[in-house]
Amino acid sequence: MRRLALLASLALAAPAAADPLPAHASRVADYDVRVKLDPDAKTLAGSEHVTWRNPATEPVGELWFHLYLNAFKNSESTFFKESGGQLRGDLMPDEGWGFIDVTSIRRKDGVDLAGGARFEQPDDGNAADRTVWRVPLPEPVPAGGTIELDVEFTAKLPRVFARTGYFRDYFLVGQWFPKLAVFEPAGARGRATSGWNCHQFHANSEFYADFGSYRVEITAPKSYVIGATGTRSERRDNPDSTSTHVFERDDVIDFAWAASPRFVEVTARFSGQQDVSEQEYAEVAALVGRSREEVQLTDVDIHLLLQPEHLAQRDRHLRAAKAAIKWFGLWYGRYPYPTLTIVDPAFGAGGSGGMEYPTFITAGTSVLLNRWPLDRVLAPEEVVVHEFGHQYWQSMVASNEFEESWLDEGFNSYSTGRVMDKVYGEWMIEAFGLRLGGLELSRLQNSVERMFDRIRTPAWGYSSGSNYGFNSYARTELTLLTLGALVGEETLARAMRTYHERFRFRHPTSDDFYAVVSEVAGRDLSGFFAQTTERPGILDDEVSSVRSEKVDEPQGFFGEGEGKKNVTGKEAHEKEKQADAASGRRWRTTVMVRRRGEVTLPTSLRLDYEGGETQTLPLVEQDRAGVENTGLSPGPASGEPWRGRFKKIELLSAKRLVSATVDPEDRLKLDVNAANNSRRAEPDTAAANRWGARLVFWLQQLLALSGL
Amino acid sequence: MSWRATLAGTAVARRNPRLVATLWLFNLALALAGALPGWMTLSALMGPLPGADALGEAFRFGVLSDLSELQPGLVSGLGRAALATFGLGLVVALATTGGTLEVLTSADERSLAHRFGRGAGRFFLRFLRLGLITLLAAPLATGLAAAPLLALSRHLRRESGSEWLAVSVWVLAAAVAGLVLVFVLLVQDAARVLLVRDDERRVRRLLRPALGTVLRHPLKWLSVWSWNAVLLSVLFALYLALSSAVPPGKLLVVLVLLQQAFVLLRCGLRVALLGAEIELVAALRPRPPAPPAAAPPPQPEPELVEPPAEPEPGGGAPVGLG
Repeated sequence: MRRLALLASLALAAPAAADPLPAHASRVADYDVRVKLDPDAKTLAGSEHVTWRNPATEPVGELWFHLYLNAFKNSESTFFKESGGQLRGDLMPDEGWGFIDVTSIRRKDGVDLAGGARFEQPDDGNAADRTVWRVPLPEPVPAGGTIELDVEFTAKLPRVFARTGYFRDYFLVGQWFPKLAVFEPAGARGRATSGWNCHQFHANSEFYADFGSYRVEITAPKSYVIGATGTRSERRDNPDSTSTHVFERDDVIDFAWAASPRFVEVTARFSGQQDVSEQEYAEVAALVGRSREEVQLTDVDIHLLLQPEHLAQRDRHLRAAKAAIKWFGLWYGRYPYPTLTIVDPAFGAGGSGGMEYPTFITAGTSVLLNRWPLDRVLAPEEVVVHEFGHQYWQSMVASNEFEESWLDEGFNSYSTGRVMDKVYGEWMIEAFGLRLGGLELSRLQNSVERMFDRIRTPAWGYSSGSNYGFNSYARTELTLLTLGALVGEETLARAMRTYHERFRFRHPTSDDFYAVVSEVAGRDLSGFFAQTTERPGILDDEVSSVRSEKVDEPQGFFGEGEGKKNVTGKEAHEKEKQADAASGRRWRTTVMVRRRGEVTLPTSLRLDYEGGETQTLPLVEQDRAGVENTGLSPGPASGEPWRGRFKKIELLSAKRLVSATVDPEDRLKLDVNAANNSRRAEPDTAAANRWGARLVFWLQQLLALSGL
Repeated sequence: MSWRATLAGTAVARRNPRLVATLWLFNLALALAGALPGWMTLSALMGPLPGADALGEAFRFGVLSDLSELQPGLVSGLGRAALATFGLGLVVALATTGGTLEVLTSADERSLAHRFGRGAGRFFLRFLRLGLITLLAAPLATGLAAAPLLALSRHLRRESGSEWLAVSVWVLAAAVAGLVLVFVLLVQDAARVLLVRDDERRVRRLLRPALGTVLRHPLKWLSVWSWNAVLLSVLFALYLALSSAVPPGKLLVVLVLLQQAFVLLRCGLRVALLGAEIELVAALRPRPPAPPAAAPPPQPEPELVEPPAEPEPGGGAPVGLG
């Protein structure tokens, strides 16, 4: 059914055209929040005025809220049970619990809504989990209508280990207020009927919310430096030694903030005029198929809140931020907001690092990276670029992180890799003679881990946290790289641009992405995605054997009747010698290639002969039982058809074959093993001997440690 | 004194090139034996695969991981071989150290092979007993010394908010652990020297004097060891610089020669260190003087027999005539 719909859309679609970037989101949930931080008690006292617009064509009789902070309330929450009290290696500190209590919820006219409210557990039925709250309404909100609420709440922040909380006098406040879930009308994201999409807070999941405008007043001690989503429109000093900072931002899905008296604030500006050359604009415009005006970038004020001991890395953070604003903007569409705030977490609060919120990101680094030789470990750069990238894949293209984490994490891993390669080169780590690239790291996971789940799996549905990480991040990145190699880099660049433009400020699904790529590529690529994202298949093409032997002269009786001739062995050998002397003897070459995995993609086989000649044969996939053709090969006439698991290629050549290589240009990055892609006819042990000599040397050092 | 001992040790190593070469041969032979199975496996695995050639030029995680997928157990096999080689090295080192000390301390004129073999066999079991004591004492001592600092570092990492402080304490813990381990090994060396010099059969008897010798003069012992370590570091840096100048994938013979030159010089440093330690022990704990030769038992005085008195002339009782 899905395939028919795709084909229909292809038939009806106009040729790929540049879509203008939307100026604003459709605002569904607006928040006007006042909050006071008590830094000693580590609590928040808050109130919010919420305006919610019903996006559906039918009335809605209840509201669902996320109360994310209750994930840290006790050891019985779903988050705690699934995570075992840790996230990304950071352990829950002792007595570091936190929670949020809604003390009052009333309609604007004063009607109390708390009476019928109750906690729900739509995912796992864990009655102790308090992260989803359902509030029935006395009268439904009509289609297209609005409801305004006044909500009072208090929160105890947890000690930081999983994104949000405090550590001494450092506060990173994320997912901290009662936040409305997303009401999806029928037809949105493939839904048959409309309803609330509101999942519990899981160990592996992140977040999902509607667009709106935010105005937040934050009151904290005067000495505290505050950073937040949006732009500070006002600061008032209060008589009680506190200050109130007002931040505002439209067209965002969330609001986070940070406070600490230790922050050192550094400001810089990205200039669309000065930080991008005309040549770069022209090249990108050609690449993504847009006009020069459409790729123009605007200025962005960068606010960097650094820890004092990391001041030596100030320029590194700013350079990375500018590079990210530039290249994400050029490739996918200009960054529409005037500010970007970057927070450097305090030591001891590393769990709050590496996170993204609209116009507000957290990074993370170490004093050890301040200087040589570890200053060539590009960890802070990678984090800044990656978290900024989420402005595009998560904040603006606001896919559902609970249900389709690959659409933000994987897309961002792919984009981050491109920016890092562009700006910093291949190596992410270069120290003590060791070199490691970002792509190499991703491919390492692809080879060693082999934890292949369906990429399109709900975040909490993966068999483990490692599986979630690998499939959502690295494997998606490799899938997109492979897709780019097969459809062409320009086609993929245009597809990604079109997808971003079309779904900026919206909630797309995987099917939306498949449709855009197929549309821009001009062919149905559902077969490609069926194999790579919809199923946990492995791609592993191998040259399993290579043989090249001299062709013997024929011997025996030839011809019929009177004309019968006998060619003796001696005569045949004599002819062979003459042919050898004249270098005219031919070689029979046999190459066997094998698919060790389930994924079949078009590839090629390069044959390398003595004397340096090469020959390349396209190998095009044929339908195997149950396997869709990817839609990528031009057709069997243009290459060797490869049906089944094995493919034998036999040919005669003038020269001896030295080696055969499948995917010689290493385009299929999804291949789990690159070492078996090529094979020699005759072994060459030079590399092994070199490694063997190294092995002996290091064993000698080990023996020296033993006293010998 | 430590400087004199260091110079003496260096001179000893220079005077005993065949001893140094002997140690190098033992080292090489054991390393080859440990490496051979892995080398043959890698040859068979990498030979047909051009994709593995990158591993010959530099350490590439990706290539190694691909190979280990094609040959399950490759990496763990290499690890086991390394562990086994290390274990065998510990045992063989007991013999070679005994042989080396015998060669350096014995005064007889017999061949190197004879003296080395004599020392290797004679002191093997005693060194083994001493080694077992060291094997127990080393982790205990380093753990006791470093554990409080490590615990403090962990606490600071979680609670202090000061990265510099946490890192500094951790570095201090590592330094203290390292220093304690060095001292434990120096005590072992001192005990070995005493054992060979005095040919003491009871190992435990020497522990106290060895411990006392080292702990009463810690700076002298540490400076002898440090000089040796500095020379080793300089040699290693030189090796790294020269080996990195060898083009990747080429001139394997040159690389091997450089590697073995380094190992040979390292063996020389080992002999120099033992020589210095012998000198230091001699200065700090001189060999006790030989007990004086026992006096012969007193001979009984011979009885003096008075000759009969001469008769007086003209008088006196006639004697015997009557």
